[in-house]
Amino acid sequence: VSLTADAPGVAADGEARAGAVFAALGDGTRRQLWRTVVDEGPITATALARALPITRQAVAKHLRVLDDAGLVRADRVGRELRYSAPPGSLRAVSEWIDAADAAWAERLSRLKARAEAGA
Amino acid sequence: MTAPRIPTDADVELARVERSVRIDAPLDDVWAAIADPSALGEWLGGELHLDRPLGPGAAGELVAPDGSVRQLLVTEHRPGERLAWHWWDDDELSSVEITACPDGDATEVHVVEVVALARAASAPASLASGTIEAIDRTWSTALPSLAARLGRKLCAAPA
Repeated sequence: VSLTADAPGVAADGEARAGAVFAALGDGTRRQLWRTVVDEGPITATALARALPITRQAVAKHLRVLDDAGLVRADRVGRELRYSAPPGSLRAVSEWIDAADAAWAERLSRLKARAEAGA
Repeated sequence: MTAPRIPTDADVELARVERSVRIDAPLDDVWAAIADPSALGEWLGGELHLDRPLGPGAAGELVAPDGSVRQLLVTEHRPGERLAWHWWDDDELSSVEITACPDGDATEVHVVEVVALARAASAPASLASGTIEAIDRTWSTALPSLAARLGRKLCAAPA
């Protein structure tokens, strides 16, 4: 069953984006990196590599995934790229919560109707 | 086929929904609609196919009317008390726990769904036995506190 099937008000692209967010944050290193960006951004990849026990190349790779998921944003300042977390970047998660909540409301309603009809 | 990558730290929980419903039917009748795979699938919103009777380790899929499929692995079944499973599609894996408590002649049903973080690229696409074992192993070793995280709801002692 898909959340969109149970909660038709939620756009499919929202679900796909939620998937990208879950996937991006499914890696412990990326979560740590993302939190550092949230706490200390705007911050450069070099500074992130200094702050975390991973290489500059690994930082760049993880930042690309976070960027694709919309969890970080890169702004050029002079010759540097500075990363920050855009406001509302976890909106996909709240969309998942809304969809799941609506889906369970429907499911429990069906369970109630079924059990009470058989009682 | 590899199992979803499940983070091992306590911050794995990304999202949670909880809902309760009071059903005017005795616990036995309510649980019959929860523990029977056919009835369970129906009110979940699809057709549930399991590879064995409902219980820990039972695996299968829930097929929605639109053809979309969600894989499912039962992790616990205490008749009349609690049913828990993990389910997932290409995008995410989440854990569901349903508990039921008698409330006079009625029954209070509580559901919690928690999103675990799974990489889309490594989410399982089939129910190969190795996959299920791998998921089970991952969850049992990496997430021993799943029940605690789900915030198990206990029935109040009868007055």
